Amino acid sequence: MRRLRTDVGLNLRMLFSLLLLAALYTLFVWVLLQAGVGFFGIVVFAGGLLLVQYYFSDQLILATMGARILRPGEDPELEQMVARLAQLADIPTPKIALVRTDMPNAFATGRSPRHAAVAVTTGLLQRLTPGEVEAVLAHEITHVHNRDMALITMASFFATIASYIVQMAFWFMPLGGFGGGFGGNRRDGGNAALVYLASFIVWIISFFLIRAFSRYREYAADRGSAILTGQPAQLMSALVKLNQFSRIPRKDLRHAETLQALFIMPAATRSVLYELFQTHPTLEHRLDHLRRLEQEINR
Amino acid sequence: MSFFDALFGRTRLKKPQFDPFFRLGTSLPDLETKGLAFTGAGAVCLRPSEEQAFADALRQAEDVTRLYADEHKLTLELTDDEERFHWIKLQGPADDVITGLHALGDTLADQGYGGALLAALFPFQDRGARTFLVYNYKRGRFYPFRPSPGKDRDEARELQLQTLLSPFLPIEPELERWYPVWDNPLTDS
Repeated sequence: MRRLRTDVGLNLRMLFSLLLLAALYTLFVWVLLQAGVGFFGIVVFAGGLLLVQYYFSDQLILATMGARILRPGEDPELEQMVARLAQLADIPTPKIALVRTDMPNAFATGRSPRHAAVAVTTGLLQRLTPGEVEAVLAHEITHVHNRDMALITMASFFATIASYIVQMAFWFMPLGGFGGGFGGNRRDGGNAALVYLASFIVWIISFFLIRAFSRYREYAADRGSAILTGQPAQLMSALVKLNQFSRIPRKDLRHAETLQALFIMPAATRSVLYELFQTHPTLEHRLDHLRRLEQEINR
Repeated sequence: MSFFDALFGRTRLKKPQFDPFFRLGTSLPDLETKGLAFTGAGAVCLRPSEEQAFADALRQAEDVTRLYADEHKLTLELTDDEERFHWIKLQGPADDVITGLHALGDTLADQGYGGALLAALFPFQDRGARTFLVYNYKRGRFYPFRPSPGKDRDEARELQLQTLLSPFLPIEPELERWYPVWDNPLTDS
């Protein structure tokens, strides 16, 4: 396997989205400080929640997905595959979790490589070839190696605060808003509106910035998979399979047909706008990226 | 749906297409070479409208189908499911079933109620498991639906069938439209 060079363009885009996010957050904090409305309380509240999320998200996610941690020796082949990839990536071997569902999928979780778990579904193991499973695992191992879960959580810190403010305001504004109340003077009312507006704007812009950042991390994980396995083609065919399965609906035709009349866009529209809302790049873009990696490797 | 339909909230049901329906009959020998064996039944599923005119049109269409069924010694079964959809099921030789169900849809469409047709289902035996070809009238295309135990579906085989069958039948390319039809009256036939 020849070494892949660092993708300078990708790194620059990551840096750019983070810088924009930092600038946005700085401005947000400044506005909050200027307005001086219960900012400290919010930070403690959101900080507490984020700490909980930071420390327990892995167990939480595994529990909500119905994943079961494999005992050593339960699936020696899978364990060996993960152990080898972890060794290649130079991280401690993560725990392996199994989700009992036909839908082929995989995910990684955990705040640090030491506390990480990679989860696969039974459908993934059944429907993908060993080479494809390895490529998917290598993608998840790269997420662990790159500490993506922790990074995204941290990058979302002020976005989370902003969303709390917007939601709190939504619930309490009709009762007089925060800080203002019935006895509040006009200045307080103006401040509350300003804080609300700022939070709303920060919430929306950060949503797109974090999504963009997340997509760049996906490209990086695809790249990591290609480096670890040396076979981007395996990940490509795995992605095509996963995408096909996830597109086939489970909802009954008799329910779906009546619903579809309510949608303005046809169900299958894939526009440029669509990708902006997604945490993962579109299949086409990921395949393009992997195709380029393959050319790089075979050169 | 056009932009203005969306803007003004107009609901226009698409006209049904019948041509690909007949291609199923001529493609059956080809499907057989791919392992799909017709099991001698088919059914149309439609959403009844509350209007009296619709009830009349449906009765007329069902009469046409019943006449045809009697003439060709087919078994006709009418059922309503729990989702308030109406099913017309025919059992017999493939060509007769297809023609009979076509006559039903055609009569309904002539009366202006083609939009009520939701789908036609044809059960096959494929590698020892029940597999349906679902015909979407509005799209004029078929797609495979292979239920597996526990309200699950065997997408892997369905995707294989897409490749195997597309030389012979118009198969729906948009996987998002491959809606399952659970608990249908053809499940045990």
